[in-house]
Amino acid sequence: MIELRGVHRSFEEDEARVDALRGVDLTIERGALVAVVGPSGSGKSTLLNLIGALDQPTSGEVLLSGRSLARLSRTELARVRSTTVGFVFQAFNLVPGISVAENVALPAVLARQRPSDYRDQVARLLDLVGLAAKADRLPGQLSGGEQQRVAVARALVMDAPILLADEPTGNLDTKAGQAIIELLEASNDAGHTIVLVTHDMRLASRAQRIVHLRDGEITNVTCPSPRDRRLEEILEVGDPAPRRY
Amino acid sequence: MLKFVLLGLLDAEPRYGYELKAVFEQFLGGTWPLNIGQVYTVLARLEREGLVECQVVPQDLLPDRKVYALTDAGRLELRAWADHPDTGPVSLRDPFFLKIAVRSLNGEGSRELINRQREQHLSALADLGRLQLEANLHPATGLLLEGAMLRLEADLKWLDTCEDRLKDVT
Repeated sequence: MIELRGVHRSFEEDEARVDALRGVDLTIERGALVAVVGPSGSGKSTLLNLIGALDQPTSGEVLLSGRSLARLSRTELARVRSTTVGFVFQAFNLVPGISVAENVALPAVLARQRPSDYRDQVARLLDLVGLAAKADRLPGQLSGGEQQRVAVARALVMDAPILLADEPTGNLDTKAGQAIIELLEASNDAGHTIVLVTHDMRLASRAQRIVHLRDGEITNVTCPSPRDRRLEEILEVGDPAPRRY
Repeated sequence: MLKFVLLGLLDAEPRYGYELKAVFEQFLGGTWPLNIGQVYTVLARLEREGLVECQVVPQDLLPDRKVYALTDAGRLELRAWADHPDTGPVSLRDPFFLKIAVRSLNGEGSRELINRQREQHLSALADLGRLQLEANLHPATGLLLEGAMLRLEADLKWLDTCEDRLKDVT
C-alpha cells in the first residue's frame, strides 16, 4: 500500500518559492491501477518521484507498506528504489550502447545478481513484451514503441510490487501507446500496483481510479466504470430521433 | 443525410434492399440502426426522383430481387453533397451543456455533478479504447470512433473549464 499524508513539496526557483504539492493525502491500495492527471505544472511528476523515493517531501510523509520513507537510511532508500519500485519514463531512458536484453537485465546487474539468477526472468519478460526476437539489438535499432516495451520489461525485472510510469505513452503514436496500455494492464492483472502519471485521458480512462491534480492539490477523484458496451450503445451517428419539445 | 449515405453506398456497388441495410450498418459499426421499411421508403423516393434505378432480378424459388443502382443524376446529387465541407451550425446537442447552463443561472454549485459527468465520459472513453482494438473494424467505423474519442477528450477539458469558472459558486 502507498500512503501520502499531508505531503507538501516546494522548490526554490530564482529566489521564489514554487509549491509543487500543497497538502496531498492519498492512499493507493495494493494491486490498484491509479492514474494521476492534471495540466503541466500541477505536480504530477513530483508526486510520482516522491512515491518512488527519488525525492523527499518538504513536509508530510510518504509510506510504502506502512513504512515511512523519511525514516529509512540511504542504503534502505536505495533498496526501495531498486526492489520495491520500477520506473518507466516518457523518454524510455534506455542505455544506448548495450543490447535490449542487457538493458532489461540492468537493474539486476546493478543489484549484483548473478546472470543465472536473472537470465530466465529477462527471457520471460522479453517474451511478454513481444521482443524476444530482438534481444540482441541495440535500443537505437528499435522503434519508439519497442523501446518503451523494453523499458517496461526493465521496470519489471526485479519483480518490484510497484510500477511507476511517467507519461509512458507521451512519445508514442496511438497504436504503440495502446500496446503499452495493454502491457500495464497485464502487469496490473499479474498483481503489480501501478501509478501512472499522464495528461492522456485515453490512457487514464483505463485506470480504476483517477486522481485529478491542480496546482499541487487533489481536486477530484474519479472511478470510471467501463462496461464493455457495444459501439452502438456509446455512439449515435444517425439523424436525431424526433423528440417532443 | 440517410439519403446521401445510401447514394454513396450504391455508387460503390448496386445492391438490393436487405443487402444495402446490412452494408450500411456494418459500415457505421451499428451506430445508426435502420429498419428495412425505412430503407425501402427512401429507395422508392430516390427512384421517383430519378436518382436511382431498379432492375428486377428473378431468383429460383425465391421472390424476385430489386437491385438498385445510381443514375447519372444520382451521382451528381451525391457529388454536390460529398464534395463540399459542412457549413451548418456547430452541433452541441448535448443535454449536459444545458444542465450546467441552467444550474449556473440559479447559482447552483455543479462541482459534484461535473465530476459525475467526468466519470461518464471517462467510462465511454475506456469502452471506445477497447473497441478500437477490434480487428474486424471497418475503416470508416475506425474514423468515427477516433472522432468520438477526440470529442470526449475535448468535453473533458470543457468540464475542467466549467469547474474553474464555477469555482466561486462551489
